[in-house]
Amino acid sequence: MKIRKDLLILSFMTMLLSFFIVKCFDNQRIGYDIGVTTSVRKIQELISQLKSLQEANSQLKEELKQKEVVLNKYEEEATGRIYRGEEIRAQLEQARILAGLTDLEGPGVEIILNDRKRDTIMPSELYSISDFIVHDIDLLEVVNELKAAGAEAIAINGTRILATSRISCGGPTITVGADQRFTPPFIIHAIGDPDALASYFKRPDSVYHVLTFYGLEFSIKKLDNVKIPRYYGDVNFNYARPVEGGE
Amino acid sequence: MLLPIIGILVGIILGLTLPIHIPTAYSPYMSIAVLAALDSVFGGIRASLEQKFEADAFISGFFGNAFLAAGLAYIGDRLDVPIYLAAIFAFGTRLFQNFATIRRHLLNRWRERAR
Repeated sequence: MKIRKDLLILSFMTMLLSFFIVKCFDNQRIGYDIGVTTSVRKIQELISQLKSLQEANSQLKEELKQKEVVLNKYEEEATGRIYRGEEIRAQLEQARILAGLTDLEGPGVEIILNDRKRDTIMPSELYSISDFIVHDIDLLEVVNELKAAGAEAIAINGTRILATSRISCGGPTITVGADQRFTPPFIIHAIGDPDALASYFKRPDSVYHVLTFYGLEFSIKKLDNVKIPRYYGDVNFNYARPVEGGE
Repeated sequence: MLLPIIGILVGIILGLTLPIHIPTAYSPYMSIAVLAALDSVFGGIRASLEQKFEADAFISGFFGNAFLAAGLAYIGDRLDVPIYLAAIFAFGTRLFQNFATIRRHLLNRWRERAR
């Protein structure tokens, strides 16, 4: 019986060992430390994760749309029942547009902003490489000029610009809105008078001239119909609250 | 001889099913600990073939070596000296020696049976 006890202990230990070996393999399979080692396998893993997240995301959007249809129905019922319901509903719709919670379409422009192509840079040009790439400030100025020219809705790469949206530097990326990170090219859609929007960049002090001087790609296209998606996400007010009673 | 193989299979199944994850930061130490444990298991198999198996020595060696190896690797990381190489060297060498002895024993047994 002595040997049987040996084997029992041995097999228990081999069980422990193989458990930990499997766990070690496991760790290599699902890795998030992209900075330390970026193997092709890890990248593929991340790509498949991204894909599944995108699928989940689009499913959730679909769900949201269905819920909003239901909500719309309730609102319609409510407008008929309450005093001046139609007016309240119109105001609500207006507020939603203002808050960026509705898909919008209309005439406007499409601006494509991209870094300067590497092979067009002359060695004799005495500028640093930093002058040839799109910075957060450039994007911010373009958006600001669009607003000045009367744009009613703006989106960068499909991300709606809200009153609270930021455009800031994120290292090699530019952070737009709450947490969207983008790399060039930046496709900016704006709804407004196409002529007014496009001609605003013809002013001599427009950022357009600065960026094209450094050879950045900056194209403006007038479009009859620009679709701008709604903003997906929360806008929370943790500190600001309306003044009670008013003046 | 069947029991340890069942043990391996059970371990693999448990490893694949249990939702325990080792943080990636600790995985290098884990690898060293696994090497040490592997060495202990090979030693255990050898001892049991030689009829010299001691359960207490085996279990204490299994955990003791694993923790020592992982601890050395950790200290080495802190001190910026690759001490884990010592563990790899020591346990790696012993692993091969143990395997050679196991092979010898099994071959001898097989030859005797064939005779």
